[in-house]
Amino acid sequence: MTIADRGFHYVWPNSLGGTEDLQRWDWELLGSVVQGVIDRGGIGRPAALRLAVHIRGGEAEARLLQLEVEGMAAAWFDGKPESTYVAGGPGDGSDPIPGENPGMPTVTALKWPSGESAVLSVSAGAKGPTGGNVMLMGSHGTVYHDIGPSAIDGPESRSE
Amino acid sequence: MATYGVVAVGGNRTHLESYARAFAIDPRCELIAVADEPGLSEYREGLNRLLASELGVPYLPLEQALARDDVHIVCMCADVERRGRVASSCAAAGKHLYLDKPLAGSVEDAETIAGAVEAAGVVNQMFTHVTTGWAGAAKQAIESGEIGELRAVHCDMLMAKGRPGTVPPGTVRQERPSDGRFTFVEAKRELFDMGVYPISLLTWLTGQRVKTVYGVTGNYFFKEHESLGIEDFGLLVLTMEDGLVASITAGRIGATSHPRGGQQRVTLIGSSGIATFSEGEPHIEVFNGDPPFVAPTVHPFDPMSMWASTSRDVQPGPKDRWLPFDVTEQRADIEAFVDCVETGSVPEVTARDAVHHIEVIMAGYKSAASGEAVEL
Repeated sequence: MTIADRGFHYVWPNSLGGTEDLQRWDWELLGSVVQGVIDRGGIGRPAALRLAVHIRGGEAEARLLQLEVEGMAAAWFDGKPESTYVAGGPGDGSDPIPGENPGMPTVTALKWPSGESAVLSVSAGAKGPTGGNVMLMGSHGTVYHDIGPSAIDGPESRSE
Repeated sequence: MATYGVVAVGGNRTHLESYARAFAIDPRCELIAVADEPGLSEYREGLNRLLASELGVPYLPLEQALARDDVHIVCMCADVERRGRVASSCAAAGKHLYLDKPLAGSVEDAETIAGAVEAAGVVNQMFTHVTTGWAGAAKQAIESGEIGELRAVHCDMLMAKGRPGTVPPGTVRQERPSDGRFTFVEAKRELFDMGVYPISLLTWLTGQRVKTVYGVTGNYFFKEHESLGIEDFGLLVLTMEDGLVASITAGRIGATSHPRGGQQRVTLIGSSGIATFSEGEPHIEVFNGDPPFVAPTVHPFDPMSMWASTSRDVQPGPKDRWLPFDVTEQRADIEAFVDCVETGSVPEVTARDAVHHIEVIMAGYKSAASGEAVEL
């Protein structure tokens, strides 16, 4: 399973048996559980999103991930943004070894007509585990989530 | 016997409340007086005199304090709008300067301060988070090459204070270029006051200046900010001089919106992966039958819980569910400054560095007002 398939597994160390449990993690599930918090008024009106994620992969995976993340933000803020500003991105990076280094993270600032905002950093690289963090600030509460190593990263990057 | 006499400029309801006490407990320092300019408002002078009384030192006219030979250091927390003038006169008197953040309310005032301390040759440092353990760990990760070639830096400073959820429904902020006013009783401009932390951390970590600034500000949480016409949240997307990309978020999100004092964090992305360093990590979490944290009673003269002197009147219960392994005390930054005074070395963040922080913040306001990126 890949990011492009909208899902990857989150690896948790099993502290009892020493073996790993693979628990399902994907953007859709994250989006859904956060939407539940929003719907029951758990954070008030969603106001600002801070998200940074880095995955093991290449430019294609990063582009798909960007779409995924922007879609999630649009769902939480209940509509499309009115303005977008982008800095960085794979085209900005030096790439001494083709295919080895997809380049710079894409940092995107989004603003919605009713004032909400988001700043998203999406990147992919050949090395290191998937990771990042999500923070959705609402008018009277905030959701935090840490994105951990993924099963698609391969065994060398998993928790011991 | 202490080596350095210290004069504290400012009073209660400024950061001098904590800075002055940190100097007072440093065995190398002796607090000589609280001082400030003549002709202040009754409100400000009263708060200055109150702090002097609490600290057990006299309150003196600034000129008189600066003329004393037993004063070597000035801790400067004058109102933002007066900082250019006050800090320059302290430097001209040959006093080493520990400067409150942000340095000044305009690039011109910041330049005035930097020029004055350089001309006087005094040791000068602005308060930041670069002396914290987590900032040091982030720096080490960059310098050791652990994260590979640095590609992006994302810093957050979101203060968990105040009672959120009070901003009037339908509020959509329209930013305006700075009008030069930063001192209010009820609240602060948060991109200015909180934004200086992540900006200073970013420039310190990378050793680079910001080249391009894109900003967004908002009124998301508090009626107090909205009624004053100031923002409670800001974000900046930045391009550094060598093409590195960065972003910051800064603001005040409410007392109940974080398990500790707020989100203080930096995320580094390099060619070898991603790493996050935070004030609260690593930590343990405690669950038990104790009552949960509740937002403190709103103080009529400090609804954002900005100052210890007012917060103690409406003391909230402790936030004790989420406990970091290690916490850097605020006095570490002052100890680092006194170290520099002792050795004659240059502090990690000087007034000259801080001029650039103000340039970035002001560009952020300009960008948020226009919707366009600003080149520095």
